[in-house]
Amino acid sequence: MINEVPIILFVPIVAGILAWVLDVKGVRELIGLAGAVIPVAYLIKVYPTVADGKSITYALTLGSFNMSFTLNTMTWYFAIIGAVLGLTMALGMVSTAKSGYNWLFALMSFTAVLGVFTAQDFVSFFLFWELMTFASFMMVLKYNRHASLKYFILSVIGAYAMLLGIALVYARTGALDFATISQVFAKDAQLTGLSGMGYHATLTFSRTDMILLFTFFLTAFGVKAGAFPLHVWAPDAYSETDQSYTTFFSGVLSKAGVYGIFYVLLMMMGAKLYFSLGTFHGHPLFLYIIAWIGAITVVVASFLAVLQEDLRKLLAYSSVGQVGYILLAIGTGTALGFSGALFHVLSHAIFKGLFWLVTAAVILRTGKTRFEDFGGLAEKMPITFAMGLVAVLSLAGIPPMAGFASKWLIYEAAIQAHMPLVAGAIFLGSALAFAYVVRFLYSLWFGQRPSDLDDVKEAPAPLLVGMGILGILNIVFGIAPGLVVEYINKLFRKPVITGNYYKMITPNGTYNALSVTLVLIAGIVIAGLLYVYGARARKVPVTDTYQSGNPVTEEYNLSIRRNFYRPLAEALDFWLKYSWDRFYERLGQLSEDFADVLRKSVYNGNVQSYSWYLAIVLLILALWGVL
Amino acid sequence: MNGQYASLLIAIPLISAFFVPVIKAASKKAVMPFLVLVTAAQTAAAAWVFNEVYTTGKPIIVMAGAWRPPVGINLYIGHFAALFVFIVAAVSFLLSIYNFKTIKIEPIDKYAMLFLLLMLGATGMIATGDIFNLFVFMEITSITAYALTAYNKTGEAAEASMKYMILGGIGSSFFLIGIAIVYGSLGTLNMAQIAQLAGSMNATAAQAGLALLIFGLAVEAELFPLNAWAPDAYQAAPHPVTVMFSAFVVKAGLYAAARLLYIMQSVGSWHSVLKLVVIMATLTVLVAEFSALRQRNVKRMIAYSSISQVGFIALALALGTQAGVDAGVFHMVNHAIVKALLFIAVGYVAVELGGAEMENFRGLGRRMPITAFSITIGSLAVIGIPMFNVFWSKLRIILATVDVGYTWAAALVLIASVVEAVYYLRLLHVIWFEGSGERITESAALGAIMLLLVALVIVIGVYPDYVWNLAQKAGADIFNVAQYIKNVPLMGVGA
Amino acid sequence: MIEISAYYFGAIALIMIGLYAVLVKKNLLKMLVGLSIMETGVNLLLISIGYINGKSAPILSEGIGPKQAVDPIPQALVLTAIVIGVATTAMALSAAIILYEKYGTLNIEEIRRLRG
Repeated sequence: MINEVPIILFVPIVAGILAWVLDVKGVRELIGLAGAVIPVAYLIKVYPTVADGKSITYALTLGSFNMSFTLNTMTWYFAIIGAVLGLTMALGMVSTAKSGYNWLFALMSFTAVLGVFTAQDFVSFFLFWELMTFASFMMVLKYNRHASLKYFILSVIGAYAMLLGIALVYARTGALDFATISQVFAKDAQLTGLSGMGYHATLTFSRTDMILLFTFFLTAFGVKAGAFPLHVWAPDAYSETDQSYTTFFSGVLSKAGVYGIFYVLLMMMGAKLYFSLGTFHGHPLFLYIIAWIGAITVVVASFLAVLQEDLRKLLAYSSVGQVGYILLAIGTGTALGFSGALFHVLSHAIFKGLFWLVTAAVILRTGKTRFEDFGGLAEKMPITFAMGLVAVLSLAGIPPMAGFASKWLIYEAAIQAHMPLVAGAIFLGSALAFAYVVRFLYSLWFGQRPSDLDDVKEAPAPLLVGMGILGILNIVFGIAPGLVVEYINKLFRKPVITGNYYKMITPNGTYNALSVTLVLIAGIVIAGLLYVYGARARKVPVTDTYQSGNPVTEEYNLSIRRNFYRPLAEALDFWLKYSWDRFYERLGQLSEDFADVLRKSVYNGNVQSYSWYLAIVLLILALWGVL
Repeated sequence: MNGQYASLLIAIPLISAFFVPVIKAASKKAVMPFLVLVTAAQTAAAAWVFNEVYTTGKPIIVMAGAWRPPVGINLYIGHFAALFVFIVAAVSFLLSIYNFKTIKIEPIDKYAMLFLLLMLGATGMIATGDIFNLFVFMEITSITAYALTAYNKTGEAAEASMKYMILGGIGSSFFLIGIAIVYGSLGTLNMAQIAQLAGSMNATAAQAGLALLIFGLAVEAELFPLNAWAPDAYQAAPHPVTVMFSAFVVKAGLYAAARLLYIMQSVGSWHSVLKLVVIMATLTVLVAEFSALRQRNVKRMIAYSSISQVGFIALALALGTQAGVDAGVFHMVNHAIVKALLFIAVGYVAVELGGAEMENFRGLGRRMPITAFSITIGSLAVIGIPMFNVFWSKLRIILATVDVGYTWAAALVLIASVVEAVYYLRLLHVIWFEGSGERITESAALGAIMLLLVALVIVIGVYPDYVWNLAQKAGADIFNVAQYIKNVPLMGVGA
Repeated sequence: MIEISAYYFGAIALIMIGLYAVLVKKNLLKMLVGLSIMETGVNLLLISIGYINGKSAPILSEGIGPKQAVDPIPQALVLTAIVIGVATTAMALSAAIILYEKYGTLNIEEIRRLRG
């Protein structure tokens, strides 16, 4: 009997190809949806097996490379997140995708991500990694050439860095499968530790090798995760595509980078990196670097998110920032931090996925993307609004949402690891997150509605179903974080975080989601009663606005919909002058100019110069080979 | 059947070439169909040889006039030659159909003759077992290539041809000097015997000989900076000829260089020559990719891309390991398929829309969907997207390169590959998402050819095992020199 | 052996002269002449490798057996090489004619429409 893994892996892409080939409206949506539902169903089916600690493996040989894919406790966790987000993406696409092209590449990236998560050797890992990049690139290319090329170039640089890393590992170990390589690294780590204590040992990987490997793999995974300073592709790419697809793109594809860092850098070569690169302030140096990259990503991306005037851009920067949290949590280097990171992988996926679906619905119904064009949609799209509210609460880290539970763990981990500056970055990031979600919340849903939005309808049913799934998950995992924590504990084979379904107990503190929820509900009920019976409501015209005590003039017209944070931007003026994006653009421009100069001077059209090239090579031969 | 029938591979095109004027005298319309017939026969013969070599696992040695080598000149059709002679014949067969659409300029009979001779030259270069014979076939290839480059009779064509001639002339002169040195110190021209005796050669003579032989072949194999003729020739030559250049003429040069390199591996300075070739190959990839970046003429752009891929192959072949040679051969096969596809498609666009300028590709996706689809698949394959054939060979090459310790070379060619991705993807954007125009009816025959090649690209991409096995055997044929010597029934002289 | 060195010297000198013409002369025809001189030099080199002092041409005739003749193989090679050289030169000259028709010049620095 064929096992579940190939079905889970290949059903989406087959469905995508079918949808693309048939390309009949109605049929392609059904096929695409089926292609997304089947993996989820099968993943749920194998849950008892992987929860037991067993694994299901599927192996094949291609081009005399042995490839294998495994669903085990670790990979299942990532795979189910990917698959659920994929399902909601498919639901969203039923409403937003207009062609088979979108289905083909969306489902291709679905397969690719699952392949990356389950791969057990570097060849299939790299193959699916490239496929993932390619498929998501094609999704962006259709909408914006510049954004897509930026994304692709950075991704390919990352992918090739990874390829060099893989080749280096292969050159030293002769193996490509994770199991063997992990063993070699573990053994080598022991030897490095011994040689550090004065024993003489022949090492498989030198210190230089490890620095190279760390750089290569960190670049590769950093690009995908959108880590600073390789994040510049993300805002453009996330916004310039089908927004339903962004659910998956931002929710899951960025997690492939996280997965890579977690699996390859930490689980596979972590010990060796620790011994080879040493420590910094008592903290493993390589983790310290990752933590700081995460912290800087959080701060930079959050600041930039605050300053955006475009809904999609804001969410895109916010996505980048949230992945920074995950890196930061990994960088703490403690089991608590890893748990927090894994939990945040889940909660980021579900709340950011929800955000993007809401955005997809709003853009589908209004056709607008800038804050200044929105307003008062809460009445027109109440369910979408409710879902948006859930997403906002979860992102801003307000209990009892999933986002709070995971962020709480990350705080705890940062404090426990004695990284106060990093913890500071988290707090700053949270404050900024609050600042930008307020804008999302207010300018879309409340306030005066522009007259051209008067006949906006509620989002279509499939989108609502998708949002519903993610919204419920946000609430469920928020109220009962123990569900996730229990599973994460299985990964570590020991209870890192104790407690029950509603309660998380760490060495530093306790969070009881249920009691918080009850208190919150009680509070809301009291506030509601006060509002209904106590408050004396007075109607004021919404046009009567003020701005921080300044008079409203034409040129200094700040409202929550327009240039709301312009004073902040002015304060940050000095820092905003420096942009990695512009730096890369200039670098690209320079290399194009260099290419022109090279081309015109080398291939200058004069055959006599060409003959001189031959003569020079002969001379070099004479100097090198003969004499 | 007797293996000596393999000499048909040389005989069919040669004799047919001389029959072209006769055919023309009978009916001018019959020249092109005759070409189809001949290449079909050649393909059949090559397929038989291929089957024979791969089923028996033994090379076919054809001895001219039944003289045993080294007295007689022999053909050595081992795993590599069998594979590539088949590719040469098959590509030529496809091109003979392609000719109907693309060759309108008279005199067609001369074209047909030169076409066959070019095919013959490449076949001979791959199959021969004698170093001077190699020179002769190389010159047949070059002279027909010069003539075919100039065939369009425009100023550009003559200019390109002239550049090719001058550089090729210098290259072949020095190649001949290399032969003279090798013959002068070993007294033999047979490759197997050279391999046997190479260790006993005077060190200086051996180094100079090897260096000059590689130099001469590097001009044909388009290694930087000896490749300056190539973009011009690719651009100016008639479209089928460009396909031939890219698909097998350059491969013949590469193969010859690799063969000579490995049979002389006991020469003292072997490793420094290898290193030099690695440097040149890396530069080839880099310079060619950067040159392609802002190209406005798509044919020239793909020509540069082809040169850079050749650099990849040369890099792999010069690694000096079994893995490297295997990967190089694999890449040769993939490159032949992909570049044939791309040049056929681009040439077809140029014929239909009056030039290969980038502007003509705007909206191609709506105007010529099959051609546009073929270009798309070809481009994606060249970039190295998984599930297309080139992915596997590039992966193999990188693994092999780093394995030898040339991490810098791998890094540089990968940077170049990023550049390659940029210009191909720009082309794809132009094709699919810009401009529009009325639909053009595409030729069914050409559509079939292109889709056949597309299918090959995808099939090898999804299931690379079969071709990889072929490539491994062919690679062993080049790499395992001891076996090569053993396979050639040398008379007991000299040794 | 003095004579043989002289041949080698002559051959290499011819090659160098030819190469000089190709590398320095701007006139296309002079470059082609240089190419031909280079080929001649190479041919002379080949011949002189097979030359054995005091032996006659390798034509089987009375009094001249295998022992009395010089090495025949280089001579055969040179015959082939000469034929090839003639073909190349003829090709090059006919291309030069077309070039002159189309460009109106033989100055190699002006024949560069294809570049970059």
